[in-house]
Amino acid sequence: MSEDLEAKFLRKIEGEEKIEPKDWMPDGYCKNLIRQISQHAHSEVIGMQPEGNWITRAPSLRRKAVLLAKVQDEGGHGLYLYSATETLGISRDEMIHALQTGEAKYASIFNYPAQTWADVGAIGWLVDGAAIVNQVSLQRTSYGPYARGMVRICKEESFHQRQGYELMLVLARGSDDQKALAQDALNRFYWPSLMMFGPHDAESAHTAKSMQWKIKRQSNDELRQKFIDQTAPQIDFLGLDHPDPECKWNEERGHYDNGEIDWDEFYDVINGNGHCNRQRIEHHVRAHREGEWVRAAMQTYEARKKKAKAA
Amino acid sequence: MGACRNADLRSQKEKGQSGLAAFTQYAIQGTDMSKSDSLELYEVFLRSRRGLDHKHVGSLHAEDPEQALEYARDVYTRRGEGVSIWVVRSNDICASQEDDSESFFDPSNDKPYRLATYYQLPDEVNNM
Repeated sequence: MSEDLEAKFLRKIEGEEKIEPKDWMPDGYCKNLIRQISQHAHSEVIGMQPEGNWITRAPSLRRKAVLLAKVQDEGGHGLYLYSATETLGISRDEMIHALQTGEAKYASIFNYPAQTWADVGAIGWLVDGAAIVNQVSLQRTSYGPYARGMVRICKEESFHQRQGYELMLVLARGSDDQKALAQDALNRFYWPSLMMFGPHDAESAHTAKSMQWKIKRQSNDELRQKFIDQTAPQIDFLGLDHPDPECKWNEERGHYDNGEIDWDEFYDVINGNGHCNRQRIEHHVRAHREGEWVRAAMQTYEARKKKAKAA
Repeated sequence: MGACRNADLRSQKEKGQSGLAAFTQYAIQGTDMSKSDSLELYEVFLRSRRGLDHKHVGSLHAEDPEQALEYARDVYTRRGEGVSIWVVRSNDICASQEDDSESFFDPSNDKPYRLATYYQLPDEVNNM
């Protein structure tokens, strides 16, 4: 019986059909999805912190409105993704608990601080840019609710990258100080953005199974290469120096070559030793706790309304 | 039947009532005549292909959700239009009012900077 179910499941995957919430799926597929989608959701929500920090310090009303809209989007994207994860039978509370206890991860990039206004530009351009490369690929993921969430998110996300690049362009064409600010932000965010795609394929713990089940459609290294290729001309256009001196066009491969990523730094940040790991979770716990009275008030109000209706 | 209904509407209009009021009245009469008040109204949503969202296709009366599913299958998928059906009690749907849409959606109407096209980038990097 169970063999039949598994064969049927694999046939669907093989035939590029989506798996939907009420379909039978192997335990491992479900667990793998919960891990990946909830991690994705946590990243959206934690990702609000480094930039949110700059909303009150934006240099103009226009920039402030734009940044506010972007951070608001990230919260919304977190919601889409939490909802998609919930279709797999896990509750929001369980996911929040896993995040706050460190059992669940989020994208390591958000453990880097946004130190200057130029960082807001670099984050939109590079961090959202890298996220988009990943998310465009995930529009074809095999789990229906995740795929549909990705389509919605990609549609909304394009403005994030464009506002970031536009911001960088203004700085890069500004005074020497402004240009230096842009270069510094690029230098600090370039490598961590490459790390966002995860370890090399050979070292990636989840890649093989995820690719077989078509949860992931392209490998970490493939996606990273795509990002390197699209970013190099953009850096060039800004007139900034490329942070990777080994990044050169390779005619034969049809791709840019690149220098090796500092994997010690990657694992160090994942394991909790980044600049802001502790601060990010502490802030989330505090915000969640401070919102407790709102949730309680909503429930009390709801109960009172029901009682009034019944009477 | 259609002609009869039109005539009915026209006569109501001639009496100086608005078309909408006349239609509402007709609809209420219709309900009374068919005695279907023991049957609940269900909204029907169809997924035409795996991977796509369910889309609203119409509604029907049924005794219970299971029956509504079977009716929906018979009424809305006679030509292989769907691979999955949702039925939802119409009364359970909470809907925004189109008449209020101006004020309801107002908060997002004056924020063009949420659109990618708001940011003008030079041609060299415009494929972002």
